[in-house]
Amino acid sequence: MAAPLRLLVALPAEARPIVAHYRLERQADAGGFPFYRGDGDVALIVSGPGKLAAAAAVATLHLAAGAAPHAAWLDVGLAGHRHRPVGEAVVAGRVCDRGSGECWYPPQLWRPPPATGEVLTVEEVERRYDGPWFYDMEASGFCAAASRLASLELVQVLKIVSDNRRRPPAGLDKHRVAALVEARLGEIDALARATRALAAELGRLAAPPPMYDELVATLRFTASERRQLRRQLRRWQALAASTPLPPELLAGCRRGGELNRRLDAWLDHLAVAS
Amino acid sequence: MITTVYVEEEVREHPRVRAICRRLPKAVRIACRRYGEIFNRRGQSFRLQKRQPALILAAKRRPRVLETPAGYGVGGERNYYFSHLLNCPYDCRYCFLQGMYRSAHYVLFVNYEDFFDEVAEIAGAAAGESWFFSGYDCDSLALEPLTGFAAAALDRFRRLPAARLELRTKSVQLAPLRARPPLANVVVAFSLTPEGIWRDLEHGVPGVERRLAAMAELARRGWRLGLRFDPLIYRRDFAARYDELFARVFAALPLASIHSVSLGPFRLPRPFFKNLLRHYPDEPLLAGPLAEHDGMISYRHELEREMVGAVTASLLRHVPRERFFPCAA
Repeated sequence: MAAPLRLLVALPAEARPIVAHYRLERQADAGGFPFYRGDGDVALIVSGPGKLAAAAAVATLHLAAGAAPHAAWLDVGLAGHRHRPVGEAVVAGRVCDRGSGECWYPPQLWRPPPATGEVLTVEEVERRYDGPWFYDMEASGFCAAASRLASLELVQVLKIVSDNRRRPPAGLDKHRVAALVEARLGEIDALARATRALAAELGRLAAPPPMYDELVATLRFTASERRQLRRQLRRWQALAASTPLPPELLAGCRRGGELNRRLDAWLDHLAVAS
Repeated sequence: MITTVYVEEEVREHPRVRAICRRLPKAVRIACRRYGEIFNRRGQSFRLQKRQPALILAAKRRPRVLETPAGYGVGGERNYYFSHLLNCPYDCRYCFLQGMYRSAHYVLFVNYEDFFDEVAEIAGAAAGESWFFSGYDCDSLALEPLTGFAAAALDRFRRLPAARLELRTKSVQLAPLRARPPLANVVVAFSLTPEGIWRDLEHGVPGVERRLAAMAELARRGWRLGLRFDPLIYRRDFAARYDELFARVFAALPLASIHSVSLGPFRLPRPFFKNLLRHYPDEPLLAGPLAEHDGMISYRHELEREMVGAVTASLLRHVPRERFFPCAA
């Protein structure tokens, strides 16, 4: 099953092609932000411009979409660059905040690697393009908030060049913005798929082992005994996944602690014999 | 293949950084202020990063050379270690690095000369010999074609006769050793486990046969060798497996070339073990007959005693006791 996908965009016009692509449906606003959902646990929020709005929208999206622990998070949006051509898309290898100086380095685990750029998040629309950066207004807020909710590998930023020294941002309208994003849906989808695959792997590692839910529903466990049970069932899966739990382990067992002790002894025997 | 290289601003113009970047022309290059911003950040997955580790090029600040834990050594009185590299291209399931570091990226400290200056300072400050172990947080030779570290170390240690260097490896990257006459103050130590354990646990590591061939070549060239049977891994038939390994090893290598042999049971500090378990919950090694003693996870006492006793006895049928150094650390 695909891992959840959480998308953040700043502008309604950026959202439009993505909403169509993933067949998302508008829901009631979440915390004042336009919010969309679709099949396969895909959800999108429109933050409005600025890093604070982006950070607040990430938190809102997380809760509104069900607080999934291992979701893929993507910030998709526009950026200005000194000379890179309008329409070019890059995945951020580094995101820095001009105000605080803090930086994030979303790990690039893709083979082959996509085009990568360094993004600088600024407070106002950049018109001078002094540095070699891709200038945006949301990525640092997005990274700051999303990296608290997911492992850093699952937090990715994709920026599409919308303006440069020869084509300043003044001429951008909503149709142009939507067209720029629509032209890069292939890259957006590829990054989303790859990040969701990583998220699925982390989700699988964290999932309860077989029999856990049944046993917890059948016997009484304290919180610490539940953790022990989870560990013991993991051991069972590691040592002998194809061997069913012997019925005598459960026979006459009333409390979780007792089952854990029986499991421990059985698994130790298996481990020494393997 | 390394596809991303992070470069600390401080070493951006370092000649070694330029040379390494030339060797990785297709890699994306990203600037960073300090390597710790990437490597030490919380909330990243070692397991996911191990799929495609990046290379971080950085400068190591003092202290660069540290005393080893008590009990770590091969007979010397003063023992130190240094790490020009953090992490390793191999993926051994028992390796403590996976539990110690938050990131699987390689950090290469390019200021090798500063390490060697500190080694010279320490070695010069004491009478007699001092040992320096280079493969503590990495493999000394596995990334040699990229780093050139061992070549630089050998050239410097040639001029430091009171300093003893151990290069520890599982690789067969012999180029810097082939290119130089053997040095009396250098030991090239190879870690080995029985064939089946190598197959199960040492992902990406050259096979036992290839490592033995590399060792035999070094022996022919006059280099002194170390044998490191560490960690000992339990299997029901562990005694037979280690007997067979020792028979192969000592048939392939002349005893005269062997400087030292060490052996140590599988053990990990509890926090490292917990991290490993989180990364690899389905790994049979971590589900084995283990117990906690004084904050360390290792095989249950009686089993560990049985393993160490049997394997030591088998080993001492091949090597004289004075060249044998059981690991206490």
